[in-house]
Amino acid sequence: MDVSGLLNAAKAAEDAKRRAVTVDREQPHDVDAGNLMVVDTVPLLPSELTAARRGEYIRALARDGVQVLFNAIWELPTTRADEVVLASLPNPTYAIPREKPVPKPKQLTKWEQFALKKGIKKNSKRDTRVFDDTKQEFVRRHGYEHRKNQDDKDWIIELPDQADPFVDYFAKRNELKKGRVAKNEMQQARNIAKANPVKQGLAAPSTSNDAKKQLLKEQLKRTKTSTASLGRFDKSIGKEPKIKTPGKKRQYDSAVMQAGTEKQRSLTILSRITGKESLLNENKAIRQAKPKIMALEQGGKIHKRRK
Amino acid sequence: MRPLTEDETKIFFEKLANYIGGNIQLLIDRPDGMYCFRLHRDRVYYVSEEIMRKATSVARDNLMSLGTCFGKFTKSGKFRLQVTALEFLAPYAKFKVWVKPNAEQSYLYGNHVLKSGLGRITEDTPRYQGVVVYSMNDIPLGFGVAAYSTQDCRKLDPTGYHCFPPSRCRRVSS
Repeated sequence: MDVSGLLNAAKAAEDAKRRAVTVDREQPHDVDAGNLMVVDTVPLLPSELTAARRGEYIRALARDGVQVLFNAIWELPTTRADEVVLASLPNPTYAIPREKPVPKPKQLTKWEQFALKKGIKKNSKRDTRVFDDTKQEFVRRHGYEHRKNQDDKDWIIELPDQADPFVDYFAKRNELKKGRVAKNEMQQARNIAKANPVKQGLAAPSTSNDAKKQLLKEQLKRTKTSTASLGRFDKSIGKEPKIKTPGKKRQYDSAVMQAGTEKQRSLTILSRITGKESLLNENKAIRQAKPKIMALEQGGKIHKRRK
Repeated sequence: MRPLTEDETKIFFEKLANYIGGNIQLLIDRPDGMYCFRLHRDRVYYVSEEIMRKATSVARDNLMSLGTCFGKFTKSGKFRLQVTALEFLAPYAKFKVWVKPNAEQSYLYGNHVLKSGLGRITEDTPRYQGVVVYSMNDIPLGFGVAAYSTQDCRKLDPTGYHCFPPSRCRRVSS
């Protein structure tokens, strides 16, 4: 074999290898490496979708798609970590719809509603800490340690004009504060209750007359059957229709079952029953043991082990 | 017609086990085809799968019987064996009692088998064990319950009962 022959053979082998990893298509695949996704936008050929050829056709299409995806991945920048090649994926181009429904917007509190209506905005630039001149340090504006600071500060209360000097104004201030806290808690509870409406026991009361009637009927049925005798001995009024309480329907296996299942079931039940029986026939055991014992007693010698 | 529920199967098998013990398995697992138990109007039938499938096309009201009746469930949920089951249970019976020819008819008319009528008995039959009653020429006659164990019946006087026939479990000779 001459040199050109060898070269041709090598080239042919190379070509075959490349053919195995390349996909030639007029319309290229839509590759989204970020989602590890390939979209084939070419419509399926109806002529290829016959029952005989369908499988092979679809398999070939799928193979092409996967090959294109892998080619795309291998073109990405790769890193090596612990003998594992890692490709860093780009950002996804397709926006995949979320699995779960969009969360419902949070119910606004009454104050938030009011503020929105009036255009009052929260001053986000206001610091949570303020400088206390007397203490010469930063203290919280609200919340933790705020109250104590306030106490330190207002250690003296000026008597209001013509007020009773024998009233404890510090206690009164505390009372007022308690009242404000209680009011705030009540408002919080109201806001929570408004955000989470309680579902009615039977059905949400509907405005339509038919629905109301149905609801009333259902309630009546429940109350009538809620006695110890399920309403059997209660007095009925006039032409009241008799209330039927449907019992539980019995359910049996169908007459024809899958082959073998019935046999298996019977055998398991049987094994549970016969498993309890002891294998030993006591009478037989006694009968077989008796002659030996008799012989032993008549012989008169029962060997005892010497100590 | 329907298969037995698990509870029913348990009650039924416990009754059968009285007579044939673990040999029930040979009734369920047969080499010559699929056989099953079916409940129809409180009666338990032992029937081949093939016939049972054909019987499904008959309306429940019109279906009188299928296969072999093994007995019936009482209203209180107990199972009572019927003499038609004898053909299937006799070959597998663990304990047998043979009655003498002159006691045969008495037994078939519903009387107890007395010690004097007792021809043979399986060794080591415990007391109150379910037995199959045979005539001396090995024809199964019916079911019974051993009143005494084999050992005790040797000491019995000739007029003592040996075997109680459960009611309706006698084959009527024609």
